[in-house]
This record gives sequence, C-alpha cells and structure tokens, in this order.
Amino acid sequence: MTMAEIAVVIEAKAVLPNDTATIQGVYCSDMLSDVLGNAEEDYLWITVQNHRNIVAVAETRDLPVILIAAGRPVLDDTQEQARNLGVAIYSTPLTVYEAAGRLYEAGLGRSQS
Amino acid sequence: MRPRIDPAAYTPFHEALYDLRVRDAMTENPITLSTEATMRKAQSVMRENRISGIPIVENGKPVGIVSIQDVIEALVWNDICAPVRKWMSCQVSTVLDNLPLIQAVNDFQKHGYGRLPVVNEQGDLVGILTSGDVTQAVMFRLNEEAKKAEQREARRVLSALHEGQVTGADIVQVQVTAMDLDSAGTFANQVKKALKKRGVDPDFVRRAAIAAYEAEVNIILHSMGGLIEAMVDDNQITIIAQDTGPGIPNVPEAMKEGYSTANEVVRSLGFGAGMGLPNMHRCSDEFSIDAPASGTTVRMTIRYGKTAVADKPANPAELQGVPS
Repeated sequence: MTMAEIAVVIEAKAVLPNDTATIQGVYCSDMLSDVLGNAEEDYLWITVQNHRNIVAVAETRDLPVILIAAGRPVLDDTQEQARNLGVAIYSTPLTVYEAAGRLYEAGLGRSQS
Repeated sequence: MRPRIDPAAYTPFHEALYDLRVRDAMTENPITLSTEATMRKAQSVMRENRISGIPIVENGKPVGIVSIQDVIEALVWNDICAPVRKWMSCQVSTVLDNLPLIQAVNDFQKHGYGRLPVVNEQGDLVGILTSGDVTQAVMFRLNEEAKKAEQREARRVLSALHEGQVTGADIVQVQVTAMDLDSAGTFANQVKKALKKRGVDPDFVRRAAIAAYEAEVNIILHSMGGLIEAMVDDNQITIIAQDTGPGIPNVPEAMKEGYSTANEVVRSLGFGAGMGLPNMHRCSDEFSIDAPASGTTVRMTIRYGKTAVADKPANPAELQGVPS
C-alpha cells in the first residue's frame, strides 16, 4: 500500500508527506529499542512518542514513515529532525490500536494468501 | 627455590604464576581449631564447611593440620572423641604469603599436599591455599590479561588508522556527552553514510546502524560520557564505544532482554526497553563488552565482505545467549 492510500484509511494528515512511499507492514511500539530490534524495513511505525529521537530510530531502521497516533502533537524539533533525515511524518487522531486495526483489516502486512 | 620451568617455555600461564603472590590466591581467615578440639568436632566442621582439611593453631601459629584421612583413621580406631593433637599431622609445611605463587605450586607437586597453611613473616597463620585456589587465581588473571590485550589491540588498530598507517579505511568518530539525548543518532547516521558510500548491502548497513545507535544511546543514558568510533573498510566495520564509567556491575544481567536501569523520565521517552545490549549483540558478528567501574568498552564487528553471509548464524535467536 502506498502512504497516500494508508492516510485515507486511518484519517491521517501528512505533517511531512511522502505519499508515494510503499509500505510493506506495520510495527506498533513506543519503546525505541524494540522498534530497532523488531520492525522491518519499509514498515510504517505507529507510536505515541512525539519527541525528536523517534526520527533517528526510524532512519536507523529504514522506516520511511512515522505515524504519530492519538492526536499527539508533532513537536517542532521533531519535524525539523525529520526534514533533516528525510523521514516522513503523519499524524492521526485514532489510537494506535484503532489505526493498526484498520490497516490490518485493509490487508496491510498480512501474508499474501 | 629455583623454578623448574624451562624459561624458553614461558607462557602467560607461567607469568601469572610468577607474578601472583600466595596471598593473592589464598583464602583469608581460614577456619582453624585448637589442639584440644575433638576429632568429632573436626569432622563436623569439615562437613559443615565442605572442606577437607583444617589447620590446627596455637597462639596464632600453625602447629598441625587435620585432614579427612585423619578423621577416617580416628573413626577406624574408634577414637573420634580424642583431641586433634593426637591425630593431626605435625609436620606442617607452610608457605610465606609474600612468595610467588609458583613456590606453592612446586610444593604441591613435590610433596603431594592438598593444601598449604599460609603464614606471614612472623609465622602467624594468615590463610590457606589449595591447588583449586591457585587455578582460580591464575584463570582470573589470564582472563584479565586477555581483556587488556583485546583493548590494546583495539586501540592499536585505531591509532594506526588515525596515523594513516592503514589506508583505504574511513574513520567515524563522535564524542558523546552524557544525557545529551538531542544528539542521539548522530554517530549512527554517520556510520550509515560511510557504509552506503561504499555500496555495502543495505541489510548490513542497517545492522551496523542499529548497533551504532544502541551503543551511542547507552553512553548518553548510562555513562558519564565517552567516545564512540568506527572504522569502515571494504570488508567490515568495527565499532568501539568507550565511556568513562561507572561500568556495569552485572554484565550477564544487563545482557538479558528487558533488563534496564533507566529512570522513569527516560523510559517515558521510550528508552530503557532493556533491549539495547541484546540488539547490539544480535546485530554483530563479533561482540565483546568489558565493564569495570572505570568505564565500559563495547567492541562490535560486522562483516559484509564475501564471507559475511556465511559467518552470520541463520537464526538470530542463537545469539540471545549471554557471553561469558
């Protein structure tokens, strides 16, 4: 799924857009090392963390997009860092659970059958 | 006594035996009995403390030694209530506490003793030494030496690189300040760039970046600051993270997934998941950590040369074990 399609499904707003990013799956976590250890490349990362350190984590793990859930504000220096490192940021009013649920329903990241 | 080892055959093992003193290896404040204690008492003390011999002392000076064999003898002769002075070995060989350990080893070999009472210059009993104590002390010393050698080698390689003695390698170096979370990822980002520039396979770039990031964050969160360096060539990357303390009291514990000493504030930011060291270990082909109070050194190598794929265990779970 492209990020543009995903944004529609989860009512997300592009803070720093990358609509053409092709997303292979989703990882939900608020622990940075957990994301580093367990997310896979080209996954969408859904989190409620909104401080600037999430950007370096996404960049390190090759996650093209961070989705900040639960309507949490995207802090200014987080945006600045994301711009510097080329990581896209979207935000959604949905909770992590709801956003992940809708994307799962939409077939994202489920094994092809 | 003259050592009976051919100097040409000296090994680090022998060096340790000459370098260490008897007092470095002995058990201090050994359990003793007076000459008037009964053999039954000697037997129960041995059983309770799981020891096989007890020095017998008068006025602080060793006058004999009672072993399990002596207790058995006393039992055979139905004399277990007799005082130890009756059954003890009176020919007490002792060893001075300030002699090299090799002296005691020679005594063990020559006389077949299982244990030697250790005395100071005044002849007072200050400890007891078994061959097990010797082995343990030497092993400990060798382990320390091995760690030092590893660090020396790491420093040598790095300084050779700095001085331009090795060409064709890139150096990435970042000074890390304690609690400076805003800078987290600076080093990892530079590592990533250096590897990409060489056209390294993205999987290896990612592994190196994760290892670099975790090492960097550990210095920020858990140390008083330090230096993190990487050298990158066409075959591998070696990352060396050195901080100035306070070390890690229990490394095996720290290597366990989920174990963290991070405070609440830091955890609320998503750090302190207890996965930093396990992630580093999993991402590396070689991983070593040394964490005395004077500072922790983590050394990681990731190989992406032609042999890289074959060297990496197929199942990352195999790497979950704790290095000794």
